[in-house]
Amino acid sequence: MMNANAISKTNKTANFWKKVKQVLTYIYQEYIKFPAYILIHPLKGFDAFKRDKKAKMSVSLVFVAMLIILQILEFQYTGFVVNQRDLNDLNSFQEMAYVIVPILAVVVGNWSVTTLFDGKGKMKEIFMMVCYSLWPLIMTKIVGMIFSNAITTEEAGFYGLIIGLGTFGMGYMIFFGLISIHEYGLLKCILSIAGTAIAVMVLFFIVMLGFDLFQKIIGFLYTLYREISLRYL
Amino acid sequence: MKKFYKFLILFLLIALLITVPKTHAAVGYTYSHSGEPIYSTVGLASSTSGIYTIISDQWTSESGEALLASEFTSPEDLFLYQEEDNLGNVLDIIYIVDSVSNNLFVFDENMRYQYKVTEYEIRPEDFSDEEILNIKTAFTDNNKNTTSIKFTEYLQKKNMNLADFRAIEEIPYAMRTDAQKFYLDCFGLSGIYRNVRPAKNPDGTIIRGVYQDLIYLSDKSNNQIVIVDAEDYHVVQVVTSPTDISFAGKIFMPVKLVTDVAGRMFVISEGVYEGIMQMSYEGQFSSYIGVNYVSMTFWQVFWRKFMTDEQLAQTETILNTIFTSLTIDDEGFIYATSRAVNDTDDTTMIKRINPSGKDVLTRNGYSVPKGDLVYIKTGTDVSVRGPSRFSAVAVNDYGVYTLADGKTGRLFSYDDEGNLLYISGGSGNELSDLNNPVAVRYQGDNILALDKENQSVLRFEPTEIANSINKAVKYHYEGNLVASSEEWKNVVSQNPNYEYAYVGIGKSLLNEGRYVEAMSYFQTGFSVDYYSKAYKLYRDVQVNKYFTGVMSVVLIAIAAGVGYKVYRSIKYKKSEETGMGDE
Repeated sequence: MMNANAISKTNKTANFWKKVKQVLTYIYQEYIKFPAYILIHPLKGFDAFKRDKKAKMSVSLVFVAMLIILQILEFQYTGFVVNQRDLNDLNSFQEMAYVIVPILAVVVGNWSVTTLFDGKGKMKEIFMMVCYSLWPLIMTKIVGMIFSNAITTEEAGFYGLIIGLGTFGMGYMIFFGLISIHEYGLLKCILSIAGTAIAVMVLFFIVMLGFDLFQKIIGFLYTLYREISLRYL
Repeated sequence: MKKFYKFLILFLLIALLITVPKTHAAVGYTYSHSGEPIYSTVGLASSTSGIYTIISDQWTSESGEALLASEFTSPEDLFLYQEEDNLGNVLDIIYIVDSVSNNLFVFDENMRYQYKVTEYEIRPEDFSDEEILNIKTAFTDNNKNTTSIKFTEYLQKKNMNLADFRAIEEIPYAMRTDAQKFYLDCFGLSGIYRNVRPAKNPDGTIIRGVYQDLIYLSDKSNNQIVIVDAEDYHVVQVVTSPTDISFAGKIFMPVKLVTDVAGRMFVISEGVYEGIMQMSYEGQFSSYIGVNYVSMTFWQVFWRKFMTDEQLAQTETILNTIFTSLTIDDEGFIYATSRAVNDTDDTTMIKRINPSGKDVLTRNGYSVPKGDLVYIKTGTDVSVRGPSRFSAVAVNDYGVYTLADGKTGRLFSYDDEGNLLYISGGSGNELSDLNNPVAVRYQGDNILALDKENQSVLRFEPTEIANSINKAVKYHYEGNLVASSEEWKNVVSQNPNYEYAYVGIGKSLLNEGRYVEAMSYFQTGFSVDYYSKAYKLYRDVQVNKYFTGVMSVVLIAIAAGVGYKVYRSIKYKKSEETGMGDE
């Protein structure tokens, strides 16, 4: 009995460590290895992404959340040499909007353009592709945030370089992602990017217009209510 | 019930006692590190004992001579000169010139009216015939119309010619009758400057140790600079329009001028867009300095390419901006103000020009010295649109310069590194308001400002906090960082929002090697440069401290790794060998 108990106990701890190992491997595989594989082999990577359905929605959403959190953390923890923003100016909702709105706009804009020009990508795929493309930016932002606390003004250029590399990596991944997901040629991809830019502008215009009209309707209804309430109530 | 009333009255009295002494503090503003206007105490407050207007009794001289309001309608320039009397006391003399009555008014240091000078004696022995021919004078005819005429024409009106004037030279000065004395009248007198210059022999060599004490008058409408003796106001030299080829087609209308120790003149002339005119001791034009180059934006150039000549004629001519005022410091650097090149490019309105003509103003503050940082950028009302319009500048002996903004009547003071120290003044309807400042001068730590619209002179005295700031800047200028830091601490205790003070304290800490504290002060004071300097030193210290330890651990680790590999390979080989042997 004693023996069996001891065995189950050791089994339990072994199971626990096994679970931990599993989780860590999962995190390593999904959050580091696969995005890095896409970054290094974009065409093969996105092929796996699309054909083998290796991309996960949960990972995409975590990337977006990570970028939002990083944006907010950057306000406080980026070194003073490259960050003189006032903490009083921090608005978490604004930071969220700065991340989410462009992503949604690009996804919707790209989808609306590529469906017209026989792109093979679904909206979900486009969204996941854009989210996975945030990976280099997220990684460089983490590195940059730590590095920025150890630099002087003369070395501030390196910080810019790090963030610049991340931004470039993001653009690079989005570009190849569009090629793979929509099964486009190079020229068509560039054209679709230009089309996406126009679509995004149109989208913003329509949103603004709708917003304005909505506000006017609300205003009209409110005056109507005031008029009635002052007269009859 | 009665008791209750008693308590009520007592309570009210106590409440009154508490509230009554609360005085209304003057609220000014300054700009934060990010360029936003924030509330702050005013730097300089117009002193109640220092407001003088034409209605005041102060404008009657000791001899009973009254200053008529009609003669003081358009004061243009104020100059303060420190004169040492025979006993070694330094006295301030204040000169004010008026461009309509063309008088030079002289006041003592407390703006008590002394006397006025209306005309300047011109003696034939001081001038050659050629020089006389170029001199102009103002002449008022019977209809009271004043015009600028040549001095020879003036002689003709007195029924004389040049030879007759020359003949007077033979008569000893003391023997001359009033009819034999001739005077030069200024016309449009708009600037005054007094300085000494080394005396020269007729052959142009400097006489060592002998100085001429001279007053320089910008005689604008006569197109000349009249240099008169500071004691008896007789004309010593007249600088007339340059004949240089580079000046052809322009009219010489001197407005403001300064001179340096060698007697060179730096003149701002109305309508001359090339810069400040540098003129030699003898009055020869030598070069322009501190030119305000205009740059056109890409789109301006682009559209101008497609314009027809008629269209071009209708658009605004883009000219270099003209200088509005200048002053010179002890080291011979000229501080000059000008209008902004256009409504958006306003970074070079203030220049510090070195003797070779380059702008060397230090602009290390939170923002470039340019007066108001926030202003109206659009609209048709030209009087309120656009950046500050500086009309006067004064510099004191430790590098603090104050600029008067003609648009808002405010005074902006900056230190020698370009940090905005404080903002004072402002336009309004009270006697102590400054509506159109045309000249500012330092009188010790006080500032005298001449207001053309109110025809008044205001004396601005530093408030308590400005006194501390001035002292701190002075100590810093002298290199005494510790004393400076103590003064900055006073400033912080009076106004915790005064960001630059934290930098001042931080500098002292940095000097003492207290890097971490210095870094925190620099961060509070938003000085990236100094923060970076402090951090660099701090990092060096840390690296020196831990380098040996960290490096030896790393090296040992590498050595261990290599050693392990070597050991493994040897063992592997051995086992291989033994394996072979087994087979």
